[in-house]
Amino acid sequence: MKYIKLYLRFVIVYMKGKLEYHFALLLELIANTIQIGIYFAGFWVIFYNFENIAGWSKYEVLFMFTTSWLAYSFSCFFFWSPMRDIGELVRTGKFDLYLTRPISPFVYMVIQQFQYTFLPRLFFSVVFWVYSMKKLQIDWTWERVVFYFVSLLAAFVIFSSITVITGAMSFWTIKNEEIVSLLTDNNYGLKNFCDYPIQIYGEGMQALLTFVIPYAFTAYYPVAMLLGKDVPNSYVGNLSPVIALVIGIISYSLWHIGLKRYNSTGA
Amino acid sequence: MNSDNIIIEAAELRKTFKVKNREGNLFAVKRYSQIEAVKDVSFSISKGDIVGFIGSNGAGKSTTIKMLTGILMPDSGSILINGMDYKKRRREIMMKIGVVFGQRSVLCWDIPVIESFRLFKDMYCIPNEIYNENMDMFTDILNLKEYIYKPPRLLSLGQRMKADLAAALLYNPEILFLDEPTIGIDVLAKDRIRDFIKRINQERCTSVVLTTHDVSDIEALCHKMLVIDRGSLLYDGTLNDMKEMFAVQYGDGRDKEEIELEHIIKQIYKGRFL
Amino acid sequence: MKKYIDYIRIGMKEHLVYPSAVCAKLFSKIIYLYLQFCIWSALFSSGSIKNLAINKTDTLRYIVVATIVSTVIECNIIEKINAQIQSGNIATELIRPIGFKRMLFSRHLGDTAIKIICCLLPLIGLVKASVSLQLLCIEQIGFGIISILLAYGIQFLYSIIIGLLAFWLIVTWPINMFLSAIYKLLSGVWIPVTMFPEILYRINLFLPFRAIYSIPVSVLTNSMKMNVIWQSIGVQIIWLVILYILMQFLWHEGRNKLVVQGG
Repeated sequence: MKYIKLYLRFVIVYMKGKLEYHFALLLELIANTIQIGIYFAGFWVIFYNFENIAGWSKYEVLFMFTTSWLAYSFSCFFFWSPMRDIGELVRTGKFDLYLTRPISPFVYMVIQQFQYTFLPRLFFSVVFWVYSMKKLQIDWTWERVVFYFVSLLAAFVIFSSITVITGAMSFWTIKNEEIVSLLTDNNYGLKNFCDYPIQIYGEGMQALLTFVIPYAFTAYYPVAMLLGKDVPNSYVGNLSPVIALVIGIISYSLWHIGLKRYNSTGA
Repeated sequence: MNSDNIIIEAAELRKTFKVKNREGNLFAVKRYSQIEAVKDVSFSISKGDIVGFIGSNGAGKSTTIKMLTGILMPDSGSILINGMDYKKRRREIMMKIGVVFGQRSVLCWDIPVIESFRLFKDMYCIPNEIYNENMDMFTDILNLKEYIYKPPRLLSLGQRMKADLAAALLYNPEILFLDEPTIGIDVLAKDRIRDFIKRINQERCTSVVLTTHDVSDIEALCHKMLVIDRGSLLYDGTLNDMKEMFAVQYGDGRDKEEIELEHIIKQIYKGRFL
Repeated sequence: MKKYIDYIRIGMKEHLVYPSAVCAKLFSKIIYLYLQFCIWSALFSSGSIKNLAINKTDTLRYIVVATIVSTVIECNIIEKINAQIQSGNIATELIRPIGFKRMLFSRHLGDTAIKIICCLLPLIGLVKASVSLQLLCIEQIGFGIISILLAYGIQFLYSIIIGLLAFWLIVTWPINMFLSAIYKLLSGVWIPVTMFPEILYRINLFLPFRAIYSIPVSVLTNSMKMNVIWQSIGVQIIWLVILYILMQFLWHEGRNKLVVQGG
């Protein structure tokens, strides 16, 4: 309860600060909207020329990747900016101040910001998610709803954990920008691979996306199972929560080990 | 001294850093050398003390302050704040200490100072009456009214420091840690800040630990001195006693009142005294 | 002349300060190339092609060559110019005995030289070793190189123009983000422009973006009639001139603004 009240206070403060430059704020939102809009436009151009990819229809692919984006937008909304800033905070020693507060530094970093720049992405994801669902006419039985909801939650945890892991690397004085952009860059990032059914990639890449950086569990496996797609090892779709739990524990431990390291060596 | 009064107790603190000395290119062998930043430092601070903590650059001063504020964990030794250990009761301690770093502001850059204060009110769960009482008092002494509705980016350095001080004292901490509180601040603002610290100390019995390179801060504020050099504690006692000792050793018959503190400190840093 | 060579050398050194960044760049290009290759192969293999004027081989050639060429054409001076204008450091650049824009271009040349060695050549080697496609249209390679050089110039002018907008804007990154998104779609570096729906294709004809990737890559990979090649190169030259004039105009306006306001 205390945290919610504090979060609301922080949001007010954060947005008041941003509204000081309201023209810039507006530009940011417009730019983000257009950037995401264009991605969908490109998607539309591709499927203007083709009916399906690897046996997935346009709407099935759209449903899959909006599922992934939905979880990703939510996750980034909370964790992207703190984990991006932490490298700088550690390098300049400003992280010290976070350690002198009666709230854990992680919670503090998450609640002190409000990444409205992810709202356009979230908005587009929701719109096209609803649109694709309408087109697909999925038979939403109770089990399916529960399954889908749990998978969505798992996707949120997986994305967040990966973000936290990259952030925690900053405690080892690693410059993590390159790793972050290798994973999530809008043009070149590895995350873009899970916008399409991963069957289209070679086995090595499939293994990478399944076992090393489990992006495939954020949408591909669960959605394939939900839609009854004929994909190899489709039962894997059940494993998303397990994967989420494992990577969640890894990121939690890594963060705490990193924090301990900072505690014992300083910047 | 009554042991019930002791608010900070540091015992046999040690801290060693590994330093990478990398020479030349990427493939050079990385060698590590150990630097003993703090070795075997023990002291205690009582309720209501204002302690000046001095040492040349790299003497281990900021490492010690970081350990006292829970930012760094000592390799060995213990720190008890009001009888509590950082390892077990971190949150509780954080509610009882206020920290101000001269060069790093806790205030949000783009929004009016008052908003940051409200944030602190929620973060530290400050009851309304205490918050209002404090705000009245701070407004009175620090002239908060002049700038509290402006964002820090529009404030002078002195105003920003005053605002930071007020923020750190809003929740009535029992100990206040100040790291270089007057760096880069004009003389008048310095006076205000010192008066404020003194008054808080007197009215609330708040203990103050401050590091500074400005000797006049120490003369104006401190009853007690801690001097650290090359990781070891050289002196732990009152300012008065230190002057007396110096007068006896080097005073050339001068009275202790006539010797400038700056002169004493220079001699300490040069290794000629203590 | 010597001073330009010095700046070229500075550009090369700046690029090499972080070897890890250079590796990451190459790596991300490889990943992207692989992603594009897989997606387009799978699309054509799905047997669901509608109204398409371009076949699988041509598309793959186009995509591969566009990604490889992008390593050379890319220009990352926008943020640098933004930062220099916003911090006011541009004033110190103006009193130097070398023109600001020439200095930028020299540095960019140095930067490109390193990109050719560290990114382009390894990428070509990798593609040669792993893909058995005849990528280039050998007869037109001379025209292709001319077209790439023109595209290089257009991209540079475009980047300067966007960078100079900082004279009039408080924050520039939203504009950069906005334009880079449009650029990504319309330049043809992502999707071949021949696949665009009619209306989008038409709009694009009147914009400079396709002169940066679509035209040079087409000249390099498609066998064309002589007059079409000349037409393509003509379009590039027209854009080069238009952008040059626009750049000069913005530069003078911006500099006047700077002089009037005193930085």
